[in-house]
Amino acid sequence: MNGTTERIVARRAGLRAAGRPLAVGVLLATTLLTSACGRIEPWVKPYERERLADPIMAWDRAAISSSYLGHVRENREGAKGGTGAGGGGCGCN
Amino acid sequence: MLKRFLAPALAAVALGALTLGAHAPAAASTIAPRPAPDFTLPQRGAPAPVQLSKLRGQVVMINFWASWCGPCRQEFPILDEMYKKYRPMGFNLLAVNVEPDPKDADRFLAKTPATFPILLDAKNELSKLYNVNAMPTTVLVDRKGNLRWVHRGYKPGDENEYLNQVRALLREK
Amino acid sequence: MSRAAPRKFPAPAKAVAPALAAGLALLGGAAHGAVLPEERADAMYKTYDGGGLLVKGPAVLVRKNFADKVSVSAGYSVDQVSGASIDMVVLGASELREERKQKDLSVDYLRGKVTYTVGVSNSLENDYDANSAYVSISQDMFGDLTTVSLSASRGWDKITRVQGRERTRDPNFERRLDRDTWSVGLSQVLTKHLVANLDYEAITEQGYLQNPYRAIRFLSPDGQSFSTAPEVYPETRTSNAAAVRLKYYLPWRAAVTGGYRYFFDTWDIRAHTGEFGYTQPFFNDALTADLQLRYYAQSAANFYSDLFPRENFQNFVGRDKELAAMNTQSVGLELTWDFLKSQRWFLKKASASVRYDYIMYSYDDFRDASLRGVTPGTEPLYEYDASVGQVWFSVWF
Repeated sequence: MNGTTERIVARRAGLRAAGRPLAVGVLLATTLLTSACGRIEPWVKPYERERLADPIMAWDRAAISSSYLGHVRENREGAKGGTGAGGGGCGCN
Repeated sequence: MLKRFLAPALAAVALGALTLGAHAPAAASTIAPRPAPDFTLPQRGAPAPVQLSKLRGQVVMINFWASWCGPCRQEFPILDEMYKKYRPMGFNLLAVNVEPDPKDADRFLAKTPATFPILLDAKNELSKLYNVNAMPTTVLVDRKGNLRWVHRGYKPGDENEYLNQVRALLREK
Repeated sequence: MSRAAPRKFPAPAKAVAPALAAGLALLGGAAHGAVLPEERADAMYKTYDGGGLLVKGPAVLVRKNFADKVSVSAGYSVDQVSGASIDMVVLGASELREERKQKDLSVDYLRGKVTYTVGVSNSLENDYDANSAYVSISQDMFGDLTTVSLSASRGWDKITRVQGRERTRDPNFERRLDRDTWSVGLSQVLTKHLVANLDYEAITEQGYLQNPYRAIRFLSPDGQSFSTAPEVYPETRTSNAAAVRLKYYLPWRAAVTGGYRYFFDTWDIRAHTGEFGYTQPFFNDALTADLQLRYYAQSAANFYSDLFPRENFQNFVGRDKELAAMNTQSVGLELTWDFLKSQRWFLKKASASVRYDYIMYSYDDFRDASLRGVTPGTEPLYEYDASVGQVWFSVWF
């Protein structure tokens, strides 16, 4: 058995390069959305947000617990990220 | 190394520019006086409904609130103080509850009682009529029945503006 | 199998810094409507028991607001780790008895509809020092129906190595790992009963991504035993995660959540995560129950193998089961008792919560190499179950 070392070249800039245009695209879409927002009427009025303001509709009711569970998962799994959440809620002020 | 930060930095700058340029609705706006739309709504705990045009001659503050709205709950005791103090001078405060279920308002008022009238707008017709686009919304109507000021949202400290405007309107004949 | 001097294994809280970033994202205050998050304090005791390891320890988290513009959050957590994982057993490492301390601090500044956040975090063990800092902006727009957030974070890790029974630090070994993370999130109110969340996150890591204690194994020429050799990892890794979540209000007053995340990176790992959650209040909100089901599946990294056919088979070699083809299934149940619902002294509300998660790990190409007298490569595939317990008290003021 000869000891030829097989080579695996870790792919580098390929996906990182894909990430940047993707993010720029998202940013552009958001900018366009927000500039259009003056013309479209919000379809859920502030006084109709009763259900959304309900505590059971919060994405994360106990950060101290979910952050520990997130830590447990990330330590033992290969994947990470994409867990941020926010928005919804009362929409007051 | 700086290159790696380029995209996120650009994104942050872009969003920053967005936010600075973004027009958040002004917290309080002065309105060129025009007649406040008339309405009739049932009052909680009273047999007769309340009609705005019958309150001509008084300075009327209309406050749109809900029990699930934190800032609304926060300003309630302050509104109550204002009501008690200026009632004798011709000030009236109509707190319009926008919730479809009156029991939610009952539960809140049991813990935080108020002496001012609570009107019930369960079908949100008044909210639509007054174009309520923030919670809470406070509207000031002068003795002649004209809309004068609109406050969108409530942050501690806003009550000083309320007081100044109410006093100014009370001084008007 | 070679037997080196008893080697200490890292605490399972390795690769801690990405977890830090996740923790930070949660701590720094998820994007809110234009109202500051509630002031509260939480104290928790947590335990993890699985795969030969036992981790337990307390944590506290406090949030205080100032002038209705600024919200500060500070957290502290201790993990006491003991036991031996399967890798440690295979390599003959001595049992762990170690401690990890984590500190987090974040500040939110609310101006109009925009929240600006900065945060820092540190996680310290005797052989791993992880630091990170982040900034984030989030804005409500469009009648508060939409929230957009952007975050950028930077991490600096210092990895050392301890050896011997006294776990003294090896003065000749010190490595660095740098991490850049940035993410964009969009939250959208779809109807009076439905909210959706979209998240995209990209992480670029550069430096020492492997483990100073872990080894790969390769088949000996006679095919009846294996030898170990140090891992060799690439020095860069770029990861991407895209996730979508929905939360729906059910007419009888309950909430149901569904979520999916797709992950891919430059090591060829592809992972799918599916989550389902159900929240039900009882007894006029005195008791709230949450049920959570989660399924996770990933494909192996391209340089991973449980057993390499010979020494020096590839330029990059690794045997971390975290990079193997594997899946996890878990079920979690949380009960919260709101025992104080109206103002008493300076407290607005107080509750006690207990949560239990049962996680089943199952590997498709990682074998239990601790078994003796078995032809390498024919050992049973490894699997284990873990129990996570959490008890915490929360007060709002």
